[in-house]
Parts: sequence; C-alpha cells; structure tokens
Amino acid sequence: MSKKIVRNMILAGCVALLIMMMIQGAFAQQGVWTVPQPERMWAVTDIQHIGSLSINRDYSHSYSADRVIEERTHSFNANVSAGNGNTRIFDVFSVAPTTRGSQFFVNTIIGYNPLNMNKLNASAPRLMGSEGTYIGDSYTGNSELCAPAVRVCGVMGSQFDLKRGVVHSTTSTNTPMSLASYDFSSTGEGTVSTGFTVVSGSGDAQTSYSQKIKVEGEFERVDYSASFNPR
Amino acid sequence: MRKSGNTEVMAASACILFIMLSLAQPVSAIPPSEDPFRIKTSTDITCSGSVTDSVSFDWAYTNKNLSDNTLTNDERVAQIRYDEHTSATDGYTEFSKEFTADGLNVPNLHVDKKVGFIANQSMTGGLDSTEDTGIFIASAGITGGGSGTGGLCIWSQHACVPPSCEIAVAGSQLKDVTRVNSHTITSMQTSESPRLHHEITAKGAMWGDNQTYGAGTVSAGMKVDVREGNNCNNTVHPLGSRLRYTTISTATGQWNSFAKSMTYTSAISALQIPGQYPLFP
Repeated sequence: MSKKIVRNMILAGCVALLIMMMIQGAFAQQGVWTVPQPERMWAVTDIQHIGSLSINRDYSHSYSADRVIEERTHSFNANVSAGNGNTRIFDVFSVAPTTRGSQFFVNTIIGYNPLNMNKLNASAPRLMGSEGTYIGDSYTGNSELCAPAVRVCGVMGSQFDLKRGVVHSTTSTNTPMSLASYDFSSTGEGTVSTGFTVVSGSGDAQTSYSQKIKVEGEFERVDYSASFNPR
Repeated sequence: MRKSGNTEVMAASACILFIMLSLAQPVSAIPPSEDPFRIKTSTDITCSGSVTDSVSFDWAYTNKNLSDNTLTNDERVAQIRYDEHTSATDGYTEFSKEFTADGLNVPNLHVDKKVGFIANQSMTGGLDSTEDTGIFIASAGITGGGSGTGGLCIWSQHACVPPSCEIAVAGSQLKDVTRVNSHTITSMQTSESPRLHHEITAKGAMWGDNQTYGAGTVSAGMKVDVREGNNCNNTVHPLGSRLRYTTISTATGQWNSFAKSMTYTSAISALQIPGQYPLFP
C-alpha cells in the first residue's frame, strides 16, 4: 500500500512538473533576449537502494544582459560505502529562465539506515557527502537612473558524514539582486556542517555575513535557514 | 483504507502542485539596489555531543564614498559589527538563534540567542560562548544645512552640527561552563537614532523539575567612547565634549542567576529639519 502511495506521489510530482513547464512556457517573453539565456531544465531523482551508492552532480551557468551578470554554480555528491545499509534519495533540481536571469531551485532529501548498526565498528558503512551553491550577481550601474554598481556573492551548503540519519536541504535563488534562501535540516548520528556566507558591496556600502555550524554526535534536530535579499 | 490512500495522494499532489506553481510565477524585474539589504537566519539545534556555531557580520556605509578612506566635508560613516562564537563539547546542548540584519528598517540588527547546556559526567565537557557587538559612527559634521523641502526651513539653513565620533561596544561571554541556561538579546541601529543594546540572563539548567546552579564563568560588559566638536570649522576641530564609560561584570563558580542589560543611545544632535511626515509610518 505504501509503495503504491509513493508511486502515486512520484507520478503526481511529474504531472505537476509538466504543468509547471507549460505555465513557464505560457509566460515566457519570446524575443526579449538578445543574448543566450540560462536554459530551462529540471530533473527528479528518486532512489531507494540497499548497498553501496554514489551520486554526483555539477552545474553552472553564467549569463549577462542589461548591465547584469548572473552566475550560479552548484554541486552535490553523496556516497555510501559497501554494506547492506538502506539509502533513500529524493531530489528535485530545476533552472527556469525568467524575464531577467533565472530561477534556480534544488531540494534534496537523503536518508540512510545501516540496518545492523554496530556503534563500536569505526569502519562501518556511512553516508558521506556535500552540497553547495554559489551565487554571484553584479550590476554595472545606470547613471541615468542614478543606480550605482552593486556586486553580491553568496555561498551556502552543507557536509554530512552519518552513521544513520536524514539530511534535507533546499536552495532557492531568484533573479539577480533578489531573494536567495537556503534551508537545511538533519537528524541522526554522525557529523553535519552547514552555513551561509554573503558579501555585497557598492560605492557607499559594504556588507558581509558569515555563519558556520558543525554538529557532532547524536542529534535529534539541526534546523537552519538563511535568506538574503538586496531589496 | 482506499479512501484514505487517495486523500494522501491528493494532498501530496496539491502540495507539489502548489510548490511548482509558486515557482512558475513570472518574476518581475527587481531594480538592483546597492542597499538596503535584509539577511535573516534561523538556527535550532538539539544534540548530545559537540556543537559549534560562529557568526560574523559587518555592515559599513556612508553618505559619500566608502572606498576613498577619507572623511570629506559633510560626510557621515557608520558601521555595525556582530561576532558570535559558541563551542559546546561532550554534553547535551539545546541551541537556538534568530538573526536579522536590515539595512532599511530599525533595528538594523536584532539577534535573539538561547543556549542550554549540561556537560557529560566526564571531565572533558564544557561550553564557551562569546558575543561581541559594536557600532561606530564618524561624522564630519554638517555645515551646508539641510536638503529637500524641509531643509528650506529658515532654522535649518546654514545650520551647524559639529563633527563627532561615537564608539559603543558591548557583549557577553560564557567560559568553561558545565551547566547553563542562557538567553541574550542584541539590538543595534545606526540608520535612525543610533542605539546599541545587549542583555544576558544566565542561570542553571533544569535537571528534571529542579533548577540547578549555573557552573563556570559568565561575564558581560560595555564600553562607550564619544567625542564631539564645538564648532563647524572645516579645518580646526576643537574638542567640545568627551564621554567614556566602561562596565564589566564577571561571576565564576556556581551562580543562581546572572543578569545584565546595557544600552547606549546617541544624544548627538541632528539637523533640525521638521520631521513630522508621515504621521503613520
């Protein structure tokens, strides 16, 4: 019964993504672009697995037009060493062009259950991995509008090394110089690290923020969320 | 059972559809702006083991050019800094923190942090947690009067606001603590009526239904240094007033409660431009 529900949910998700693509297409402003724009793409990954596992993803794009440069770089990797542990991954990755730049969205849930956990065995199979996103936006300014040049750089991500547990992260960025957000949560046993760094600067202001979190041991809750909005 | 399963599928579908539709909305172009910004983070951790958290925030801005590294006529520079580092080892930790930095609205920075910690029976467990906050304002004074319609007020024209420097720092520290339940609140602003506030309340952690003593070292303090000129001469700057204030409180051993609240509010005069609009901001 539960497998059927999961299968139905995946099917519903695919239908929803299809609808999203159709709506994006309906609102797309054809002919606006004079330079190449970020391509529209999406991927849904759903894996339930016993044994060793390796997943990698790297993505980057750089786009410039209308005095704006948008850079997005993202990487994700997860490995489970040999063993009879149960791993579950559900991942949604999408990039959609907008009238200016792109919307970038990644949502990853990964869980690991070693089944027969031996706490004294240091070499017992573990789930290890990391995910990170870099955003770089720059605006060269517009003297007619009295809008100065601005540069924003941000990095967000996490690392995990779990004997057992779940990691969930969501990264979302919008058009250049607008809201970027990151959410991370985890529960289990092992080590997780997460954080968020942003630096922005213009002719008359400099702003920097950096936060790093590391949790080791047995944790029932690690919840972290961060957002930056140049407004 | 069948009906319940369908309901779950429909709910999940609706949820996914809602999320995807949210993503699918066309995004209006947001004009790039150098400032203001908004940074908001939320941290919530419950762990048996070790926890580290470190934050560094620095915001500096001016009404002229920040990169020329000089204070020109009528220039005002402000800076807000906040640094926090927490390290809890070999114990049970409950940690939560809400951080908001806002370049548009006051307070420009607000942090609410709670830490609960009980060390393991081993001798290696302990908590160190430090928060440092500060505002710095340097003003070359105002000699040119006000700007805009309000600046046409006859008493604002050619008004003199002497140069000034304001430095106010505050913070608190928990060191080698084995039992604590602490709460700190930090609030700072420079874009309107400059103000710095930091407070800490620390007591023993709850052990079952019993309130235990806090154990270790807890400190809190503030330092203020304000200087103000007495005229608006652009070349000669005689000192008109100087204010200095320092306070640091430290408790080591076992403490039933430790509370300290510190606030600095600037009294440097502002340009007397009528400021009654809007009535309902």
